[in-house]
Amino acid sequence: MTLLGQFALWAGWLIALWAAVLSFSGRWQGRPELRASLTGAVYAVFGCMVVASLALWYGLVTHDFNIEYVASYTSRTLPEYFVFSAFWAGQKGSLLLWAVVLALFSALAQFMTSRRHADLLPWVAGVTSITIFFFITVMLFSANPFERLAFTPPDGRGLNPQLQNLGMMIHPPMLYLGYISITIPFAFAMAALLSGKLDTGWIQAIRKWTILSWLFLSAGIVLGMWWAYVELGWGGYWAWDPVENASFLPWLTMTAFLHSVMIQEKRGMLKRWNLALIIGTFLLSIFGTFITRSGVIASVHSFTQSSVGYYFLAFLVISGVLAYTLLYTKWDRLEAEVELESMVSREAAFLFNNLILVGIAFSVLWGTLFPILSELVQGTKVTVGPPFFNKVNVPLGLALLALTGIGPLIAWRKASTANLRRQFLFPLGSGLVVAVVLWLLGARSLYPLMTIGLAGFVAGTVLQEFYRGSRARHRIHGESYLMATLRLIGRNRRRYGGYIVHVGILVLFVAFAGYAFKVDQEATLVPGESVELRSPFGHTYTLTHLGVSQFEYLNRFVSQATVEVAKNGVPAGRMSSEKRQHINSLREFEFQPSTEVGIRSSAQEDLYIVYAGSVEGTEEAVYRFTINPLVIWVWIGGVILVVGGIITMWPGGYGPTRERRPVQVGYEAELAGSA
Amino acid sequence: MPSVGDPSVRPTAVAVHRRGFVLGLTAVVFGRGAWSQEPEAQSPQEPADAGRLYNPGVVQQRARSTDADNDEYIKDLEKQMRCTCGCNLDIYTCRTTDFTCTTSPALHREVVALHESGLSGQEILDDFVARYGEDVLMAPKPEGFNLAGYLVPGILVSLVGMILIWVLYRRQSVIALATAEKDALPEAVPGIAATPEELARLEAAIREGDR
Repeated sequence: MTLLGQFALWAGWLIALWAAVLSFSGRWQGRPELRASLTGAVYAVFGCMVVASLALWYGLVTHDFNIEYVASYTSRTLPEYFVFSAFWAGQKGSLLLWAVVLALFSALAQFMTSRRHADLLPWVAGVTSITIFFFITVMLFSANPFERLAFTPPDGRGLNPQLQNLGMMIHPPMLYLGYISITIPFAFAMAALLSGKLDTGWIQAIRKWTILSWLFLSAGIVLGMWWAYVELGWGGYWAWDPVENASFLPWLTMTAFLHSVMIQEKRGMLKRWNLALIIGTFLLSIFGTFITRSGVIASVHSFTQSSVGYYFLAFLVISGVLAYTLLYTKWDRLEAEVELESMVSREAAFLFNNLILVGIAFSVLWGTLFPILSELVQGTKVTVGPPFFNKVNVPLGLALLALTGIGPLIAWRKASTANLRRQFLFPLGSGLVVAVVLWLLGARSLYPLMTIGLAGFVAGTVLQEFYRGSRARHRIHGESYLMATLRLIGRNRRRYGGYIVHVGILVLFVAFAGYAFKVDQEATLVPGESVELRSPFGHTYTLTHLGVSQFEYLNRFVSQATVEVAKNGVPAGRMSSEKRQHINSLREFEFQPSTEVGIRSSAQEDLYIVYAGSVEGTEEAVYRFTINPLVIWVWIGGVILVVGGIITMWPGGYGPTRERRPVQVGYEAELAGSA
Repeated sequence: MPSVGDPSVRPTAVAVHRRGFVLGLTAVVFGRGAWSQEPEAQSPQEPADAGRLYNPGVVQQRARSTDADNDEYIKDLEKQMRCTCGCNLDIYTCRTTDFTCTTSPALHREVVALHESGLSGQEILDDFVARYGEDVLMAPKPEGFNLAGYLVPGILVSLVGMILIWVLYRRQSVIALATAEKDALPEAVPGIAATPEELARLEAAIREGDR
């Protein structure tokens, strides 16, 4: 099977090269047979990548330890589902995953794109094919997943215990789907530039792709946070690690694009900016991959250092130069159709929203690269950790949260004073009430207070929008408020789905603010001994150590420490945390003992316990107990975000075709109309 | 600390209950590897010494926690300094998370010792920087070139924001002027399709003709 996989890689490599050369040569123009060959090549590359992937999976499930990748990431005792997910546990497999998913998206783009945009497809095929060609090149010449060992070990090295988690089965592919799907909007943008079809066609063609990509990135990031929280045992979910930052960067620019593209659709403005943003987003997705795989920046997430970093750096630089040069050559043809009329308009709010989003992206990128910059400039290596990122980004994040509430309240083109008063009264009032109530309850920290106050403002905005829309439907159609709200969402999916996304964002911000009130304590307890922990919400937990039990389970030897929990003296059940020593089929230890945390979630807070170890081999256990306020709202916020995104991209309703602006819009149109 | 493959700490055979044995045998007979079934939690053999773990080699051995471990001042200091083991975490997070690390507990002991010797927080930070280099700090000191790290994003965003406001303000003024000029023009004659510019030209031509 490895031979077949190897063959599929080479075949895919040659076909992708053919597709790219054919596309960029432009020979397909006026030659239907060559155009058909181009489309066929895209499907054939997908077929090759599927065959290669199946070959690797076959090697994994049959424990073919002669394959270096299989021996490195699996063992005979590894549960089947983790053997399956070991496909993307390492550098080589994840490169193959990237190639097969990109080939799938590339084929889907050819297959599903409306005939209206058919002229762009040959160029799209070229861009996607050259990207796939690059990934296969990296595999064939630097990180081949089918590389064989000179001998066959009796068992593999197994999968890192921290990767033996449901989150790691879903989070990396989800993030990859996000990174990879960005290639399709990028390819359409390049196709528009190459073909000279610079109308809104390419934007309509990529609308679903951009939202899909944003959704995958969002879900991938939140799942990554969840994995870090439940698996790594530090009681947090975001550490501003370079690899985390790398996933956040394209999310920020993609979010900026999703907002600014509305201005292009409605007003014919920001054409250059939108193209620059989508190119930047693609480059940041490649940059993220470069950071993860090059080892150029120290990170807890990085793959082993290898030469693939150079490939990614070269690809990043070449594609960046080519894409922005292409944009520059078409610069004059990308003039805005109208000019922005007022500083107090939806367009201006979106511009400032873009400024903040791109500003945060820049500051994250700046902070991530600053250690390298510092070493180059002053010869001193510095560490840029969470204190730096929090200091720089929290004010920008708060500005963004404020704009999330302001944007929907301002009218397009120009808002009058009366309109502003009418729109802002309730949201500002609700924000103020929330802040005052919090103050009266004793909250004195500035940032959490501002965050929750602003969240109240955004909630007021969204509530007002829903209420006014529903009330209008209730009056006009006589529908009940519930039905009116549901139909309101159904008929205006993009707008109200977007508001639901805003709700998800504000819930996330509130949850982040809760992190400031985290409480933790270490304790060493003999069986029967208790410790008390006071929650920021005022109640007290009494935690009584019951003992440590040990047993063998699946591929591991488990030591489970259990505590009895009482809340304000009332029994509230038991919690356990484990030490897991993984063993292979030869009953040898794999890796160091890993920790499984115990978590008890409620709407208020999570009680988080970590069994750190034992004293002198006895049941006297060292624990770390943590109270994490509002953590559950991070996951709920993530779900709301994704649900809102799905509503936004769900087919039907008044889509962009109904909302599309008239041919002539703006000031001139108004003058002409009024004459 | 037990090391991987150390024969002295390998788990010994765990007593298998009869039910577990029958289940395992059934799994083997029906072609499934015994490893892939989920064995029931098994009780360890009766430990010879009550309170001692049945297999202490599979758990990290830790020192009893002290008051200093929970001292908020020390925690805060440790969150400002990086563990030098290469994990990229601060000392506090590393010592309370990565229980295989021997560096962070040692660094913690150093912080506690310096604190108990009467050094202030800043003096402790300076001592660590002197011994381990500036990259021991989780965030660079805001001085010299490092200031660029802190200030460049904020300055850039503010600068672009101000330019944006200025450009928008100017455009708004131009448009307001154009609107005012338009308002000053006479009303278009109903039924005549002409732009305000055309009407203005027409009016000028009429005035010229009248002269």
